[in-house]
Amino acid sequence: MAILEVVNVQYGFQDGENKRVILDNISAGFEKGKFHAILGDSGSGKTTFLSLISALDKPHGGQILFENKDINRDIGAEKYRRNHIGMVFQAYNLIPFMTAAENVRVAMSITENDLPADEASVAYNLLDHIGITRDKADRTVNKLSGGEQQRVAIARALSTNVDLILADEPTGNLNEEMEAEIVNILKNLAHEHDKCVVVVTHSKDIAAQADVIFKLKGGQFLDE
Amino acid sequence: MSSVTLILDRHMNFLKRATTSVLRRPGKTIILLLLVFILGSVIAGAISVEGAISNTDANLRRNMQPIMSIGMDHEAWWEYESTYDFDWETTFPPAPPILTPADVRAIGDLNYVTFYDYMAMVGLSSLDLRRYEGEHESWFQEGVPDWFDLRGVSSSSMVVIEEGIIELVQGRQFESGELTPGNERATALISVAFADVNELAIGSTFELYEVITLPTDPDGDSWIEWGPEMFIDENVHARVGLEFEVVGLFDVPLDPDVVQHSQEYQDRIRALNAIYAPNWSIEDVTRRIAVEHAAAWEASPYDAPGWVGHQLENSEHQMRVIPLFVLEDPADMDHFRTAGAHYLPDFYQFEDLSSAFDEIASSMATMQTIANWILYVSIGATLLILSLLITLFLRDRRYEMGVYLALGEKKGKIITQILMEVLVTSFVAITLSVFVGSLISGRVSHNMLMNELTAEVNNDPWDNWRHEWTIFDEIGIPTTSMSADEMMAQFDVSLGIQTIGLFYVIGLGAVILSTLAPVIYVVTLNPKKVLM
Repeated sequence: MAILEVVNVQYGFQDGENKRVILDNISAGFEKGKFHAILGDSGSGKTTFLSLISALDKPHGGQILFENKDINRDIGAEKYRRNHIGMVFQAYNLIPFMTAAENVRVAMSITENDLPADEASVAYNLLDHIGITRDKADRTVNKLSGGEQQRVAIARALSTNVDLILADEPTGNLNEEMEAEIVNILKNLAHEHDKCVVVVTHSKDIAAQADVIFKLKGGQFLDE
Repeated sequence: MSSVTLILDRHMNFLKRATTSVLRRPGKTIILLLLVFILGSVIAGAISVEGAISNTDANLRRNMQPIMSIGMDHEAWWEYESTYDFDWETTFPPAPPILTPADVRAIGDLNYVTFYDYMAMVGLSSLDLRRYEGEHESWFQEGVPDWFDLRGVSSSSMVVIEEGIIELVQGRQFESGELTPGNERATALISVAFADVNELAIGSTFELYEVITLPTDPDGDSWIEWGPEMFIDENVHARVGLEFEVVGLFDVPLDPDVVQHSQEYQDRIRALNAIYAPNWSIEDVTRRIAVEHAAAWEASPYDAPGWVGHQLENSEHQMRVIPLFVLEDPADMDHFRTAGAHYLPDFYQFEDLSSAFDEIASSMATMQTIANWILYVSIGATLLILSLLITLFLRDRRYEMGVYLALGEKKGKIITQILMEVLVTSFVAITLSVFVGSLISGRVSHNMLMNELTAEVNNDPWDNWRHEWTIFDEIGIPTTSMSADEMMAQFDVSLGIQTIGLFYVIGLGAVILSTLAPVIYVVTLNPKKVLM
């Protein structure tokens, strides 16, 4: 059963006298325990799609339902981001003057989800589980490699104990070796930890490893 | 470990984020700290100058003799009088209200007063007595009376002697029996100098009177010019006076620095010609003079012209009542003013000896104006510069702010985090600037005030002359007794709790206001545009 449903979503903008349609009445469902890939070329609207399902933007038509509740109207965008999703960005988007552990703890202090009281221990354990040693966990993030920073970002997304992980080109800035490691971690999250993972990518290799692929072209999902 | 530390340590909440940001980004923290420190020092300087002026004013008042009197508010009276339309022939200005001995007694009974007295004052003349003129040439004209100030006394312990304004050198003060009506002859205290000129001594008697001349035809041209002819018997209706017996001789202390032709020198001459007598004698002679004035016109073939009739109706105005109240504590002066205001006739006001430091008050007012401008400009500069700096810092941190928003942080908490960061840094800077600013401004303002004061004294050709005649000058209490150095000795830049509190309120208030405008940036920030 889908944890996240996209129902007849539309999105576009006015470009001079022309109206440009980015997403044209698309629908999709995303389930726990599966690794989903949104595959598309540059300008296909895949990042816009991710921004809509992460409630960083609102659709111009249609609905996005999380556990059958509209994420904007029923839950509220801010609360949805705080308590129901974890996000991983291409550029990591970590807070540079904080350590890896502190970056993870920031998300934990913001969420309203029930978490173990000892915030620091949870952060260290998570980071360790994902391949960041205690020594590295206490370094400011700008002293870590790209792959390590993306692991920290994934740990941050997981730290709030959410079911839905959204990733925007998570391996876009990484070499092949790192890319494989990160994809494995994401796959593992879906398969071993029963998370619903949605990855937006232009890479067919990554998409090929997904359980479900949505090809986005011309503002619509192509039949797969 | 305190609960606050626990919260800060265990949760990476907005407070912990704020302190982490302050400590981990030393470059930006130091820039903000230095800027607030510099602007704060200027504000602290301006506020400490304000505080110093306030302290100095309080010190000067504390050191002022707690003597008060009542005088007429002439400006208010003139303003009131100017609303009347009169021509001096058929219509006349309103008569000013009178301060009576009864008013003085009511005010003197207030708790703040340790001692009070009043002087009923009138000018009386004599053809036989001469004024003491000191080194000056006498203006005496044979056959024309000299005039003398009679100053009333109602207490056997005279204020002017208590306060050291005059010294009793021979004889005694008034006995209580001499101060109540019913004595045939009034007793008097005169100066040694006046006694010498007129060959008077303890036990001598002399007479002072008002010469009431015969009325002349108001419409004719038979006016007698001022001179001996005016006072020959055939032109005189009556001489109304009183005989005095000398019971004491006094002297007025001589300040060796006082030079001839100075105001102080003239004051002393005037004080040496004063004659102290019981108030009842002055009140009695004033009443009798008014009666004889009226009788002289009654007996004459002429109708009294309007202005004379007006004077007759208001004959009590010939006598002035000048009270003196000695208070227990200079700090009570304001309370005394408030409590005594209830008994004051209209257009009268309390007066104190504050004119003694008019010069420093003027210099302090100039400095206060400058300090006010500096304060306003520096607050304006703080608002502008800090707003710009914080806006730049926030633009530089837009990714960080975007991350907080993407993680679902409430905007209010992000704004509080920024505010905390700025306030923590500013608090340290402001604390440093309190001491540095007040130290520098204390020295600068001391020098400025001293220069102002010196310039004022040096540029004043009437250095030895008082600028404003006060009621205390009338009764011989010196009001120009403070030198520039003495005044400066009262200059006090020490910061009181209130001044420091005021500085923190203004400083942190300016910082908060400066932060509010830039946080609009956070409110309008779109994390999608920043992060994706």
